[in-house]
Amino acid sequence: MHQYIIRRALLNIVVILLVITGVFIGLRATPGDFAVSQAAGRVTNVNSGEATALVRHDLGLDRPLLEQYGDFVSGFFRGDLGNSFATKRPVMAELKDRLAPSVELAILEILIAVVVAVPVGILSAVRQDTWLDYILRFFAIFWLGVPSFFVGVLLLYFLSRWAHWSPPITDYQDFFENPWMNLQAMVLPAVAGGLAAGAIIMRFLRSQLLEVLHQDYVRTAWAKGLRERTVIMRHALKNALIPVLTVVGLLLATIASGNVVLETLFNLPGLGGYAVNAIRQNDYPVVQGVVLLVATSLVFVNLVVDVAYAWLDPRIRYG
Amino acid sequence: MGEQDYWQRFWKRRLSRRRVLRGALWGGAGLAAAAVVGCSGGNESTSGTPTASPGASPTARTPLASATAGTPSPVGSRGGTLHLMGVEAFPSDTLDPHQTLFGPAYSAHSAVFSKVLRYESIEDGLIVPDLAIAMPEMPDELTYIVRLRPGVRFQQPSKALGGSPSAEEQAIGGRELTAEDVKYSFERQANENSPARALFVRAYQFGVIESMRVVDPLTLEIRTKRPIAPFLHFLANTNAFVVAKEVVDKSDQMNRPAAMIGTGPFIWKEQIALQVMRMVRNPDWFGWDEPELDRPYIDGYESLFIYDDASIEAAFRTKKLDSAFQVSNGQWVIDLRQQEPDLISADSGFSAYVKTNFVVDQAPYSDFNLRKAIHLATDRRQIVDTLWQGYGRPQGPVSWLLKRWALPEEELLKLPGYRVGTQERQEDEQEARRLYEAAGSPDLKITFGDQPGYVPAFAPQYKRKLEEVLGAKVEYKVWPYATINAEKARGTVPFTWEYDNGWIELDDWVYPYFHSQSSANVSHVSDPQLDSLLDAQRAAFDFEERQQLGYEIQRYLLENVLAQLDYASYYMLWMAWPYYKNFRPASFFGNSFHLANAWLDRSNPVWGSRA
Amino acid sequence: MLMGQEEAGLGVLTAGQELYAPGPGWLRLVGRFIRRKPLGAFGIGVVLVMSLAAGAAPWLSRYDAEERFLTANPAYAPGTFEPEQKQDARAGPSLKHWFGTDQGGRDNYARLVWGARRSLGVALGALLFAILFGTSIGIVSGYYRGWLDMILQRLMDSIQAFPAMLILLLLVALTKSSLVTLSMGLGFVALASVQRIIRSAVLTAREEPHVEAARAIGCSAPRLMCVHILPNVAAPIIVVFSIGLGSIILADAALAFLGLAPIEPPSWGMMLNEGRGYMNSQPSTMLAAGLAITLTVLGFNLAGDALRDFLDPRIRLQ
Repeated sequence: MHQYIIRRALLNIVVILLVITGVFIGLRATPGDFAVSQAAGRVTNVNSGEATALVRHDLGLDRPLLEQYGDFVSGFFRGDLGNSFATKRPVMAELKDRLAPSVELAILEILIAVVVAVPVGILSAVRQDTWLDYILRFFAIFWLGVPSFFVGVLLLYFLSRWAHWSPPITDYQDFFENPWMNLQAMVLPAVAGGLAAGAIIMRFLRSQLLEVLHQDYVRTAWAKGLRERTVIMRHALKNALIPVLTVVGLLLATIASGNVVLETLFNLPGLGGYAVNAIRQNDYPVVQGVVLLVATSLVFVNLVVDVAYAWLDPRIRYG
Repeated sequence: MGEQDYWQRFWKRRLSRRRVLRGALWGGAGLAAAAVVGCSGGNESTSGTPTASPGASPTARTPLASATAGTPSPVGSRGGTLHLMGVEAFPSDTLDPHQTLFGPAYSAHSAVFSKVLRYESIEDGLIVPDLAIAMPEMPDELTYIVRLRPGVRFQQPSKALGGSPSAEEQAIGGRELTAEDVKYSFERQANENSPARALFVRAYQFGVIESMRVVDPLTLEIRTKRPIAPFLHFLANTNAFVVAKEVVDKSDQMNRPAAMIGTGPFIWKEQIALQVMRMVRNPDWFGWDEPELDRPYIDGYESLFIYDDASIEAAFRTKKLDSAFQVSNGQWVIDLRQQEPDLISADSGFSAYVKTNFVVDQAPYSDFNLRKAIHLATDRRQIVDTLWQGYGRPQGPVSWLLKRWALPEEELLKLPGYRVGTQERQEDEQEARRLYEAAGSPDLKITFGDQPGYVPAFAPQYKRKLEEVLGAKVEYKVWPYATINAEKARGTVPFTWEYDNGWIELDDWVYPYFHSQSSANVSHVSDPQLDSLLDAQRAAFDFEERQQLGYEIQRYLLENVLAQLDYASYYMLWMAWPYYKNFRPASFFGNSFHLANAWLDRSNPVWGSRA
Repeated sequence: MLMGQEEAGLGVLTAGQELYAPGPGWLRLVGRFIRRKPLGAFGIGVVLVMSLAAGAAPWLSRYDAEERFLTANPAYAPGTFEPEQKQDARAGPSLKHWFGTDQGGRDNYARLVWGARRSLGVALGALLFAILFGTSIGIVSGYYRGWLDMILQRLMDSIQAFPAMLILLLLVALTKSSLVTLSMGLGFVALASVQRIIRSAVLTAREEPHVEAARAIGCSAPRLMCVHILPNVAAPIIVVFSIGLGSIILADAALAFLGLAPIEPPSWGMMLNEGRGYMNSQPSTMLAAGLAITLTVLGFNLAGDALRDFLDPRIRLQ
């Protein structure tokens, strides 16, 4: 098992290198670069060619590609991701500033999702095809269909109109500085995003639980006369949860991209909006840095999920 | 000063740390103090001015803030941080005040740096001295004597912000500004030998200076090459800031936050990209006049980057913003003004507009008939209705905002292309079709800009309009601004449709774009008669004469050139809470020095729920 | 077996019976289906309606998507900038405009119908791409394990580790944002998740006794994968289809909401974003677009649910 983990970790590094190489190439393949937007500006000038060349030289974009790539990768191992073209600050610092809100939002969303989904899923599976099941499934599917940004917009609108309350959009406070204000800012996007994620988890859990409940060993447990709660909690749930873990793992990827919209909508100073803006502006170091960060966290989270999967399901053993 | 800090700390502590007993004690004591202090009445609150319906011209405006406060105000009215909305927190091209073309950057710079002269009112073209002690003397048409005020000192940010002084601050903080600095700032922008010479955006304006002579540390004599009527405007223009040479780096750029040390009323605190721009009051500013008068002031302001109407509305309603305006949809402002009659309301135009640019030496747009056909086919009323729900006006070659220079609207509305009567519109559209067919019915390819969002959103409708009216085959693509501008210089986008900043004086509107010798003439217009008109307006010192020349130029452009089709520009529906005293709507970027007059009236009854 | 079908209440076509005798028997089956699985029936109904809207858009839409409607201008004053007629913008629902009009005076219902065609087209294209490649990769990877599995999974990880927005933005920038590339891009992004679900189901199915038995007999690998494992993972495929379609429509709406998708033909997400701007004065655009997205995704998910229950023999025979 340990060998497996080490092997996976090493391979992960290969994956990350693949990813950032892909990004590096992809960015430079797209037309336009930051030098153009800095130099060309709003009113163009017949000198803009010279201006663009000047800026490009300052940014180091006129060096041969291999040299830029080498710089970037060696910087990656040194922990230096370069400076943002736009703000001239080190990318590491900018990312660090913006990491906390995104991570917090993701954690809150998963928390809300799990807290809502697990009991509802269990209930729905155990009482399959009753009215309760129908209602719960309808709600789950409903939350699945409503776009999280739609929910967010509706929540904002109704709360500001009827409760005269709006989240503190203008002055974001970190959780450790001011938990109350922070949670006020986070609650709406977390709910809007978490319910959708919860619906996914609930449906999957329900279908897995249903499958498990029809297995022979569960039938044996019933036959033994065990209480419903014991049967479910001790026998069925554990086996049903395993694939659900996978879903949670890949939900993180969805959340990472879905949060872009929520962050924009609720004006959270997170990675999502920042990255989209950097892409639009062709701010290469920032985009590369964000992709690196997201890629690293995703592959290692997947590793953790796979290991947990193996730990939980003894039938699955990695050589 | 001690009391200011106390107030700031008081409010912060009360909100963020709920230390039960101590908080309550201080809270109680503080409230009692506030009750005692705030009871002495403040200034008269400016009542709401009649708001404009979409049909009326936006003449309604709050009374101009005077440069000095007048009556002394209660001690409790000093301090507090103003919360405004704006785009200064967008990291766009560069922080160098002489090299940026980004409008919101002018606003940030105008708070931190000073100019020799500045605009008191853009609509009326009123220029007043800022660093100068009086308007420059002109012994003859080519010579200007600028006398600077004494005792202007560069800022010392570490004193106001804490921390240790940066290298730049050590170099210039606290030293007096002299005529040498002014001379340097002007020379820098037209310096052909500079490694960054292509980056100075007003080089052509400062290039009219023949020579400058420092008569004494506070007097500068400037000689121009030719008589230049708008020269005083050049000295008050968007990039005419005075900087110290010590903060400019080896590549002749000052594109670093640490270099933002000027002589203005505010100190650059921080700019968090896409979030907020924070400024702090500069206690050493020369414009506070007599500090013993306890003139009201704010401790600083924040420009918050929120750019969608729903968030702005939510923030403004809950007083997280002290003033606001609509971004694309004005209905919420109208509704809010009705619901809260105490709000200060003002409508003002803004010098930004939507337009089309042609490159006139490229087929098929080299055919004047084709350009005129497109000009006639465009329905400006549709643009104003769709983009701004009717809160806009049609625009000629000079924005209607500039009351002194723009072609009068009554005349504009009679010209083909601008007429909106049903019958006249039909005539224009038929003429458009006829001209289009005369030009050979070519296929049209339009490049739309991508910001603001309503510009590309309008593309399908514009395409449909041209297809209907001209019977043309139209294709469009959406490109980012910067790409369009870069490509314009290379001539690869002959037909664009975009939103752009306007300018604040006649010369800026027409000379750079249409004079054949100008480096910014990307339409490649080359018309000797136009050139002579443009040169003439530059030399006409008599206002009436110049104004007439301006009208002639505009008429000429509309009848014979049409290299740029001007469509419309919007007006902003401003609102401010009544506790925001001396609020002034801005009609262009670069007027943030007016915030030096603003103050927050805590005794105002509406103040209560503001954090 | 035959008796079990009747009890299950869902008509299963058996050789001989229903195939050669459609008519009342068929109708009764549908009725039984509706009674037994009302949600599923609702879902399938929605799917049919949306597909009809998408397919028959030119006939059902009443107006063109970009057609601008005018109304009398109360502020009319001759010789000024106020014309006789101005845009009938942001009108509420009426007989002429079933869902009202939007900012540009365009009919919302017409835009919704054309939007259905666009959304469904993009989503189906993306999903087919994702399922085709995702299933193949998932089954091969899950069945063979070992090095092949490791390499494939790392490749899939690297795709998944790309933030979806980035891929889509880069694609949009590179290919001048056409609907086809949008579709491919969405499918590509969905690929990795699809194959992961399939693979985890294969990992379990692989250990099933009947698969072991088949292997013991000497079944060849491809035959094992297609005949023995594939049907067992059909249920996850159906679930993936239904959830996937929904989430791709949502992702497409999110992209359009952010303004990153092609502007023509109209997208529900874009309508939602525009409508949000004047939501306080006229919420009908925003609500119509939001409900369209919700209803469509809801319908596909419900239909998928019912199909999955229908296909899973163990649940059928409970």
